[in-house]
This record gives sequence, C-alpha cells and structure tokens, in this order.
Amino acid sequence: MKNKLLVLLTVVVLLFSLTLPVFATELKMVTFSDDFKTLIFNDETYSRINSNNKIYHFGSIYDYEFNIGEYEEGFYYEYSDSYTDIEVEEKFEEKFFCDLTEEQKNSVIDIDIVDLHNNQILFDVSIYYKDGSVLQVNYMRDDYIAKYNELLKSNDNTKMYLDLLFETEEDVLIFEKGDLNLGDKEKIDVNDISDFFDIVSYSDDETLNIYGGMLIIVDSDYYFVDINSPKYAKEEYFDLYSYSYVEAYKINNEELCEKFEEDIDDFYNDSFNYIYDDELLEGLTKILLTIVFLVLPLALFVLFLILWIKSKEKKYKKIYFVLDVIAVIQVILFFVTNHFMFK
Amino acid sequence: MLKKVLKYDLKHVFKYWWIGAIACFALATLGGVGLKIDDMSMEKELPIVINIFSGLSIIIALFGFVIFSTFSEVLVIIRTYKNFYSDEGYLTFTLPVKRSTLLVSKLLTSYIVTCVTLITALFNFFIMMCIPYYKDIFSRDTIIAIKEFVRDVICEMGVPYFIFYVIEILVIITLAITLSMLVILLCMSVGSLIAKKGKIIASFALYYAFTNVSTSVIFVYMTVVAPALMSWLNDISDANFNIVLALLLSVLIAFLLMICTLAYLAQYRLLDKKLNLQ
Repeated sequence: MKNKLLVLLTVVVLLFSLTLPVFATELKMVTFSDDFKTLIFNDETYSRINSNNKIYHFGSIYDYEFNIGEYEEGFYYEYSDSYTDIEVEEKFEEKFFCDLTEEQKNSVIDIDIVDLHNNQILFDVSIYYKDGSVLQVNYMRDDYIAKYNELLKSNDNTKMYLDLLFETEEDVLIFEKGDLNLGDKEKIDVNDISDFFDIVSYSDDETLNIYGGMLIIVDSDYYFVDINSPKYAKEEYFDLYSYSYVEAYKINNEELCEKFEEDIDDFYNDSFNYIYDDELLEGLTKILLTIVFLVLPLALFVLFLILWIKSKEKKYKKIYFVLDVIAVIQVILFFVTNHFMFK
Repeated sequence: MLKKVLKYDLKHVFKYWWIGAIACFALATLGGVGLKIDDMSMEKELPIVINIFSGLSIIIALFGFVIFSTFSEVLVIIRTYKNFYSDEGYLTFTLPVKRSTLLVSKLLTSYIVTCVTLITALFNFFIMMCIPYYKDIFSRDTIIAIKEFVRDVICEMGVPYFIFYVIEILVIITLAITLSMLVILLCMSVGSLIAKKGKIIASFALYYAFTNVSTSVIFVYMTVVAPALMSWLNDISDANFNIVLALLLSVLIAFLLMICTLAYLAQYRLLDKKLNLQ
C-alpha cells in the first residue's frame, strides 16, 4: 500500500513539474527617458503619439475570438519599489519589468503597461505620480509612427472594414477607401441619422488598426464621415451626437451599399439569436403590455364580479369588491397612460 | 385586537433581533477600522499581517450586513411558521381573533421588521464609512454637494412631482415587501397541505420553484418590453414626460396591489378553510 502511494505521489509531482514551463515567465526590461517622452523596450525606441483614442483596441481583424464578449487587453504588470511585487494576468505568459532611474522613482509611485495589440508595437502606459496625478499615454514603436500618420491621412488604397464584430475572418467585408466612390461633401443633420457604425482602417501589414471613419445611414442612403479630416481630427474621440450637423460624403457604390445592408441585417439577427427589429419588438411589447395591464384586469374584474354576486360570506365579498375596484382603476390607468404616452 | 396580536408578534421577533443588530454594529465598526487601515497603507507600507486583517475585516463586515438582513427575515418566518403551522397553531386558531387579523398582523410584522432592519443596516454602514472618512463626510463641501444635487433633482422635475414620485416609490417598496411575505406564507400553507411530513422542505421547494419561474418570466418580459419602452419614453415631449412617468408608476402600483390582494385572498382562504393541522 505504501509503495503504491509513493508511486502515485511521484507521478503527481512529475506531472506537476511538467506543467511548470507553462507558468514560466520571461522578464522583459522596459526603461523610460527622464521626461517619459520615450520608452525603450527590447532595444527598440517607442515615442508618444497623439490622437491615441483613434487607435482601435480590438486587436487585428483576425483576432475576432478576442472580440466577441471577451475583450482581452493583453498582459500587463505593475511596478513597485521592491521589484518583487509583480502581478501577472493568468492567461498570458509574458510580463514586463520596469527599470526606473532614482529621479523617476522619487516622483513615480506606480506604472501600468498594456501591450494593446499583443505585438509590441503599441503600449498603453499609465504613470501614477506621488502627488496623485496620473498620466495616460500611448507609446508607438518609432518605425510604425510614420505608418500610423499615413493611416490617419488615408488614401484611396487604404484598406477598411465595417466594425460589426464578425465571428470569423471569412465574414469580414474588406474594401478600399477608393471603392466607396464618394460623392460631394454634404451637411447631414444628426437627427436624421437612423443608424451609424464605425469603420476601421488598417495598415498593409495588418499590424495597426485605427478608427478610419464612420458609416451613417440616412433613410436608405449610406454616407461616409471622415473622422480624421482636419475638422474632426483634433477630437480625441469622435462623438457623433455632440454635433448638430456632420460633414459626410455619399457612398455611390451601390453594390458595396447592398453588402453593407446585408452585413448590418446579419449583425442585428446574428448568431447570438438576438432579434432586433423595431417594429416587431414594438408590436410584441404592445401585445404583452395589453395582456397584463388590460386583458388580465378585465378578466379578473368579470371573475370577481361573478364571485361577489354569488358569494354569501361577507368577509369574502369585501375582498372580491376590493379586487374589482383595483381592476377598474388599472384599466382606467392603462387608457390614460396610453393617451399621454402616444400623444 | 390587531394591536395586541401585533404587539406579541413584534415582541417575539425583537427578542432575538437585537442580537443581530448589535453583532452587525460590531462588525461594521470592525469594517470601519479595516477601511481606516487600508487607507493608511496607501501612504506608508504596513506589515502584511495588518493588511490581511484590514482586508478580512472589510469582507466580514459586508457579510455581516447580508447575514443580519437574512437573520431578521428568518426570525419573522419562524415566528409565522410556529404560530400558524406548528403545534402552537392549535392555540392560535382557537383565540377569539379573526383570521384576517392574524394574517394582517404577520404582514405588518414583516413590514416593520424589514424597515427597522434596513434603517439599522444603513446606520451601521454609515458608521463604517464615518470611521475612516469622517472628515470628508462631515465637510462643508459634501453638505453643499448634497444640497446642490437635491436642488437640481427637484428643480428638474418640480416639487409636486418630486413628492409624488417619492410617495409612489415608497408605496411600491411597501407592496413589494408585502408581496414577498405573502408568497412565503402561501408556500408555507401549500407546503403544509401537500406534505404531511417534511412540511418545511415542501415549503422550500415550492418557494424555490416559484422564484425560478417568476424570475424567468420577468426576465423574458423585460428583455422584450424594456427596449421598446425606453424608445417610447425617449420620444415623449418634455412637457408630458413627468405625467407619463407618474402614470407608469401608478400602473405598476395598481398591478402590484392587485397581485398582493390576490395573494392575500388565496392565503386567507387557505387559513380559513383548508389548513388542517391534524
């Protein structure tokens, strides 16, 4: 018996030790310049970029398993004085190790670094100072900054796709900006917009994604809003409804518009089995509310009226009467509410 | 007669309730100390044992609130069960008291105990927050901020509507508490009828089944109804919005009142005609 236990224990320990490499971590050194304007990692220099909220944080177009319901930010670490207090996200194996100068340690209490695309091109860094302030900046690898600026400007060959959280890469409709066949600039009243979706631009090597524009739907026409145009480029985050009018270009490529319509319909009736149809939903709601707040009280009114008439016991007659009164009040309230709601 | 019956019901419940209240107060104080230590650890490094203590005391304090609330409700349920469904019920139903009086007394006891428990829990939570943050809580800025917030809310909806909404919300809460007690009573009554042995288990099973079914129905309902309702409310003009909201709350009150009355009727009928303690 003892021997069997010993063998079992040995097997368990061996199996456990085989799993250890899974948890093995590879420390990577990160340093900053004195003024925190540059970051050095893996002998590569990263500089701060502007318009950091234009970066599309949901990974590359082929990383959709991360997008649907489980957005993974990558892995990050926390720096502290002792260098030993490092927290690691469970699913990821790599972690960063930050080496600050004495002067930096005097003013900084904590630093969080997130590799936004899991490819060491773009880091989202939060620097917590001892005075309580927080600096949140993005650092991009120097060799990508030119590519990033080019993406922001965009041209007819810029690759784009509609942000509809597609499940597989085969579903993604990729087009070039030139394919949109844009018309003249028009001023669109935001109150006329029935729906809108983000358009994502990505670099040729698929390493960088940014918010390249917005698709807006006015009646059945499709328009493109260039959110990186000089008019909107200064905004850190493009908020459609913060404007009364937006400048947009009509998309004249009808075939592309039909494909957009198909994809949008699929999005609303997608594999989550979420039925989103305004008219159907409103119709169903009206039926359900009418049943509960009109039909049911009327039925109960009739029932308890009959019981009130037939009942010989005073104590029950009282309760039936009260129920009838409440039913009548409910029916009246239903009609009054209906009147004011749909006035 | 109601006052006497209510007095005895409340006396019986509060005989043990105060133990839970004091325990909750003690845990809340402990939690407050834990929060204070946690606050201090932001400025200077403290030994790990103290950090563990502060973390644990906060968690235990929060658990304390939950356990205290549950304990209060359980006291009311036990009192009701013993009074109606156990051997003591033989005495209860031979007293010169109407069945409706007994039932109303239990409902009032449940309502009073729930309100007192809620006030006590809130007070204890306030104590817990005061220990670390008393300077911020009692500062002039906080009082000004609260005044401004209340003033803004009242200004936006107008004083009459504000008072009306407060009354409606209090009525809805009252009806919800009453309904939940009636459901428990109904489950106990039906459980006592259908099971000769294991009445408590039968009551639990019925309550569990009812809760699951009602939650599912409400969930399905809200999933379908809520988006459309929100869309309709968005389309209402500002002039009509307050009226519509007040009316919607009134409709909800009427609905809850109807359900409560139906449940009361069912429970009363069971007590009156069907409950057989033999």
